[in-house]
Amino acid sequence: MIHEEYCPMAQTDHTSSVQRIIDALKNKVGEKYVFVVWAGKNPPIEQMAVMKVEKYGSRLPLVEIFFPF
Amino acid sequence: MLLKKRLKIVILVTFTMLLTQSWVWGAEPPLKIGIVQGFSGALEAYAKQMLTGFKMGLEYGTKGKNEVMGRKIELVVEDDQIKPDIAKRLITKLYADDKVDMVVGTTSSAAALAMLPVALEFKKILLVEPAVADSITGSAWNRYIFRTGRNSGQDAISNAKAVAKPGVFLAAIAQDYAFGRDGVAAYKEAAEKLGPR
Repeated sequence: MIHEEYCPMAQTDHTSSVQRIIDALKNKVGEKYVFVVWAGKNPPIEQMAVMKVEKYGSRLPLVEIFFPF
Repeated sequence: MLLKKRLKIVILVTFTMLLTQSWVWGAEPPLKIGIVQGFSGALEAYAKQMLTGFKMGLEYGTKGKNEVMGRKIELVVEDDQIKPDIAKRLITKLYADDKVDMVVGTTSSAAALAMLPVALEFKKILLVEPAVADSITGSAWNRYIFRTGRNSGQDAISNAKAVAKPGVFLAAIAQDYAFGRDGVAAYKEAAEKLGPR
């Protein structure tokens, strides 16, 4: 595991967190995965899509993600 | 010897029957269960699901009668707002003032961790549901703590098996509290055994 990113519970804008993930992975050659451990509201998935994490060859295995209805 | 043994059994059976009868007459107080969940805050959907499921389970388990051996089951439901200090205060109130027989809760792992020592102090059962941090039944565990759900480690191992192999690069993003930290730690351990960097 090359990077661990912990977001404060009060954080609403995940841009800089996602940017650090991209920076850690972008120059690596090979299969890349981002593991998301998240419970409840405001998960970073949307921000990851906006910032095109997949462009850097990353895929997402999800352990716990929940979108309230 | 055999006679003595039989006498013991007869006394036991009689005693049990007497006890059962007094319950049938309704002399026994209700069985009180305290429920602590984060009904307000970011995890409210989990909390609501837990309470709905718990009530359905009671209905199913008691065939709709909501009683065990003649004792009615009474729920005392509290909202900890996913805050550890409030969760700790509520479980103390439930054991000390409401005199509940056991407590079920809570939603947030951080709040659940704050509740564990209170169960030990009162020597009463705390059934943790649905908080998943490994430490709840690991480093912070005591003999009054039980958990019905899965834990972070189980989540992590299954995910690691799916993707981790030599040459794979992994990153993690998580919430900065017990749930997120335990989740990543468990995943890292499970994944690195399988060879990625």
